Amino acid sequence: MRVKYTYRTAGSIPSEALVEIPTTSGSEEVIVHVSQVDDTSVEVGFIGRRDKTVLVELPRESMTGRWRVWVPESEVA
Amino acid sequence: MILTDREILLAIGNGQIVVDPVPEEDAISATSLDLTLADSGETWQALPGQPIRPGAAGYNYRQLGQRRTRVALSGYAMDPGSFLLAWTHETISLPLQSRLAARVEGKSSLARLGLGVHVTAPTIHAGFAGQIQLEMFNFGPNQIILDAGMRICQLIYEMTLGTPSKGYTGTFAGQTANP
Repeated sequence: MRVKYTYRTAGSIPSEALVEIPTTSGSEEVIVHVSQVDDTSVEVGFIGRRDKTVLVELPRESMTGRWRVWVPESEVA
Repeated sequence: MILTDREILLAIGNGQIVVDPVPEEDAISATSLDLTLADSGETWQALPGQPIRPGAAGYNYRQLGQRRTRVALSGYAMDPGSFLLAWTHETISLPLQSRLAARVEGKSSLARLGLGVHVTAPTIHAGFAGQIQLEMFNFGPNQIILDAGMRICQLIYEMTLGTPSKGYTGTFAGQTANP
């Protein structure tokens, strides 16, 4: 499963990128391996679904320490 | 359960563990795989009167960019008490279906000099892909010179009990015992 990101910038090393993912409680910054992102979305793990939101597990711990976040269904790529 | 040298080699051979570049056989010991230091890292500069507050609403890691400085790690002198963000040269991948996780740990030869390679964050979770970040600290009294390519840490591979939810794509994906 993939979710859209709203911002992408280079990471500290060439193999990393920092992306910002929209969640139901604000944006989450997460540093990922470049193989996990394309031009519009980032690879995540599907955990569950409730109403019009999806619980996903991020590829790595986000900058606020979260692994799992609720994402609006509309942000699923 | 920790993987032994034979199991590590088997797992690399059948793609359960991906290490790029593929390690030499002498990088493996009885229960670990040695990894080497990449050629660059980052240091942090404190801004007087501007503490970092990660728990605050609106905390933004990107805004800390001005505090970080890229440094080359060929002959890099690490002063006593200094901190360095570094990475392994090798890219690691732990496919979810492999049912493996890992821990990055220091090497005793460097630890005796006072060199630490992580700050309480050694877990390499199932599904991880990338170069491993090292939070390095010189706890010793001497300046330590770091060189890219030196053996810097070791990985301990451990079996997980089952496949994590995010790696499960079967008929019942997303279902839980207590919906």
